[in-house]
Amino acid sequence: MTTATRDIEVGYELPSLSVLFTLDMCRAYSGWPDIKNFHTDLELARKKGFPSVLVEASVSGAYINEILTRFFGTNWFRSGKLKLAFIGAVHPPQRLTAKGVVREKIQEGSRVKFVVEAWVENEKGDKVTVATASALV
Amino acid sequence: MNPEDMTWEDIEIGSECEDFEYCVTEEMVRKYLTALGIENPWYTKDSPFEGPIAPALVGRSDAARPDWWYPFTTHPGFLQAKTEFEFINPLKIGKKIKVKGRWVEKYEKRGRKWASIESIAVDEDGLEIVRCKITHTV
Repeated sequence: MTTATRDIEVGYELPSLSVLFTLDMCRAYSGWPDIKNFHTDLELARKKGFPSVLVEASVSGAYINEILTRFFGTNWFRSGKLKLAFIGAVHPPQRLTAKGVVREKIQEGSRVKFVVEAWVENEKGDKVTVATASALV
Repeated sequence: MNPEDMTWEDIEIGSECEDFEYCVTEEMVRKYLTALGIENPWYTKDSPFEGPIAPALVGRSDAARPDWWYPFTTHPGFLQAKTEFEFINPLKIGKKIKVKGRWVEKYEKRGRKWASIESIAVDEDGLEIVRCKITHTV
């Protein structure tokens, strides 16, 4: 599964991951029916002023984590660092696409640190979560 | 003080949160992957780590544990702002992990209150798995 090798250049686009995230998936992720809150219950979400349930921010984080896992492979689990910032609300159903680009390669001892800019965008192309990640290869 | 009665003002930097433990089971991983629509044989069949491993974020963010965040969760404007992870070792499915956390910062900015918890998860064999820092705002 690892695709990151030292000859990958800055600017390399990671294989993306695109998922149509539905209300059922949102509820399953957030523990419905045991958990009733604005992530799972339409009425509670609307009382807070949302048009629908609000997808947990960690959903986007999970998709970014997955493209980085596939890119870095074993290196991700032993040296991965990830910083996530949640900048946009997501309401289901919504197609979410995780993308990433290699921005830096830094020699660190005998290994190379790849720095990746990653994000999740909605079906309009708006970013809802942005991230900076790195791992040693 | 009862944690449920805590407010942002009561947060003491350096104070520890109550430890918690959980086991990452096959069922937990299956539900996680199904809910997200993710497929990866490393989580369900085998991996280079000799057996299936848990997705790195299967625990979401340990530092976001709801009962650590009582000073914030009752506020209508409660939002998760940012999260940082450092992955140290893979987590084998079936292992129990113990999570420790502590408050590390609090401040006011742009008319909102912010605070951060750092956590460390260690498996039952003493192997460090992941460090996490989460920042919430109200």
